[in-house]
Amino acid sequence: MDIHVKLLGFLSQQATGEDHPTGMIVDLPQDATVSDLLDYLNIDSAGDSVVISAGRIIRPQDRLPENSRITIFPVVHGG
Amino acid sequence: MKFIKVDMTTQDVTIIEVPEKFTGFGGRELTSHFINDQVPPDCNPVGADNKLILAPGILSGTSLVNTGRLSIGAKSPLTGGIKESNVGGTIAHHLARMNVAAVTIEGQPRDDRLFILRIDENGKATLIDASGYKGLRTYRLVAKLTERYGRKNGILCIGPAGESLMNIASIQASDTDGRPCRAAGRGGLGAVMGAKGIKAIVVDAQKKKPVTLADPENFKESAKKFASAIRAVPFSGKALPAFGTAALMGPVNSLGAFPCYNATQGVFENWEKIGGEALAARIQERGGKTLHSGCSQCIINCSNEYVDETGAYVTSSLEYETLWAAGGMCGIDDLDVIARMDYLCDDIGVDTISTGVAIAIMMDAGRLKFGDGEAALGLMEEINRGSKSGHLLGSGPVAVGKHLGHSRVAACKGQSIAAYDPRGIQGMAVTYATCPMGADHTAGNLIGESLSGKIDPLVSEGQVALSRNKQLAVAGIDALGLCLFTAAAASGDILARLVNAKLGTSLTPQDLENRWRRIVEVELEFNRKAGFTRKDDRLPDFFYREPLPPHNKVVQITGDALDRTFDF
Repeated sequence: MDIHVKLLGFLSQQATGEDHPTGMIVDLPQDATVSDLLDYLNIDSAGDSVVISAGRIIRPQDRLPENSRITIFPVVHGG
Repeated sequence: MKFIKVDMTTQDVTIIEVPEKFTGFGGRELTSHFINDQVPPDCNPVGADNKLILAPGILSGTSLVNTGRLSIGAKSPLTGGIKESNVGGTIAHHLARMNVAAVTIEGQPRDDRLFILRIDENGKATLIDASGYKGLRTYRLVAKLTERYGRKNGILCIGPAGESLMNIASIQASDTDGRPCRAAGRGGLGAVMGAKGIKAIVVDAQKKKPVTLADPENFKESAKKFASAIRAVPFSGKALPAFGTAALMGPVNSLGAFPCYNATQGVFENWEKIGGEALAARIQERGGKTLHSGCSQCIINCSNEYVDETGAYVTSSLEYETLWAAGGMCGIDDLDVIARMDYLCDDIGVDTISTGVAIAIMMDAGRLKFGDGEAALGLMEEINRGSKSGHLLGSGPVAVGKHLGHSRVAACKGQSIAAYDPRGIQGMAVTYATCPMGADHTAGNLIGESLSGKIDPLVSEGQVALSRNKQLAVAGIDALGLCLFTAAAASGDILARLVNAKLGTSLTPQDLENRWRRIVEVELEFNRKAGFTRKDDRLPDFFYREPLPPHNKVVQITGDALDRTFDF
């Protein structure tokens, strides 16, 4: 299935194939999880990255919704 | 350590030893204890009985990184309560190195004379007639003061808004490049400075020797660890240096918690045009500066220098909160326009957040069109002209809402919220509602906790405790003179080691926590004496009634829950 991925911040700078702000299409198996996507993108799933789908944070073990639009960025703090 | 005590009624300047009850205090700890102890809570904020206090942090003036924050305290003209407004730049560093724990300014000139307070390399303070500087905007003022006193000074100053005692007047601080572009923006303390007849404070910057340490070796070791920890945190070590605070734009919009079009939407459709990535790209292609250092001792370098198409300076530093207030909140998606609005705020001397929110209310009420940047800029110029509409805007968002009969005013205790909608991040409802300073994004911001999975931002459970703990921790960061962006690296253990090595104390992390809690307690005490009740710890009605797209949530934190926030 195709997943539309947008990387923000320094994740965008270190990813290959990501065209900010358009994003990139990633082809993954139907039952792929967030963790699979992070592995594909070479982003540490135990790290400080946030994965968002439809405005909600999704976890590494969550299955990716089909044709979903995913945004990934490092944790930020306010102030 | 000493206080420089300035009496503007008599124009006497005296140097006194730090009174025993304030010994060992710094930053917000000192300003809040001092205001609660010394200022009549029912006084007129722009009258003779209010006092203005400037205090470097406990760790300012040392070799420790990111200790360049200055706390400025007074009773706020905007909220009517206690205020600590925090600013970077270089002044805190210079004052601390002269062993100045605080500058206190009281009384009021009997006429409308203006003064410069000059503090020389020996810490000697003198009041100098400043009638020739009356009405000057801050950039012109600082250029003239630099011409007169030389480049090696740190400057705090007010613009025309402060002289006119406007509620949203800021105190501008010069950055490491000598520009008056850092702001103690919140709470209208520029009006207090104006009411004292002080146009600027010029502090000599030539004293290079760090302050004395009780245990230099331990301090050095802990300072090194602290700096490494700051660099190791991805936000302070990578995101802020690359994108500045605008790095928050994407995450907050992605979460649906970016209040825009006067807090009627949670995602700004054009946020990518004004986000961190676009800002950094624009600055770099035009030859401006990212990775810019605005404050003394900074290793994060979140500041920037925005330039126009010809490479000429426009403003510094273009920050997330301004990109929100002047941008998304007003429906403006043009970085060049927002940069001009930012410059104008600094130059006239007003808070960018309050200004943007007040303009957004006017737009929402139909007085201007959302997205009309030129109209917004024109309106801001009215502040400088002192026209009726300028005075209204300078009175702040709540005054604008009342005048227009418009009830969608995103403020609490008279001060507007910032770039995190409490319907999209429920914990911010607690912080905005209960913070003694009024709605304040720096007092207990829970975006990091919401993103890192500590809490679901859309549920109410657990938010009160999280906000309470964060508000107390931030009071400590402010007391120490640390930049808030070091917070993720600032464990209780390392902070206790640093404080002990500086002061020669044996404080535990728990001792420090108790002191930070006491800061908030005295702030609440002042506000109670000033007439605040629990009814003031509530957000405006629309946050409970109008669901915010895309999650279509309202604030779910109950009044009872809010009342338990500081139920110590």
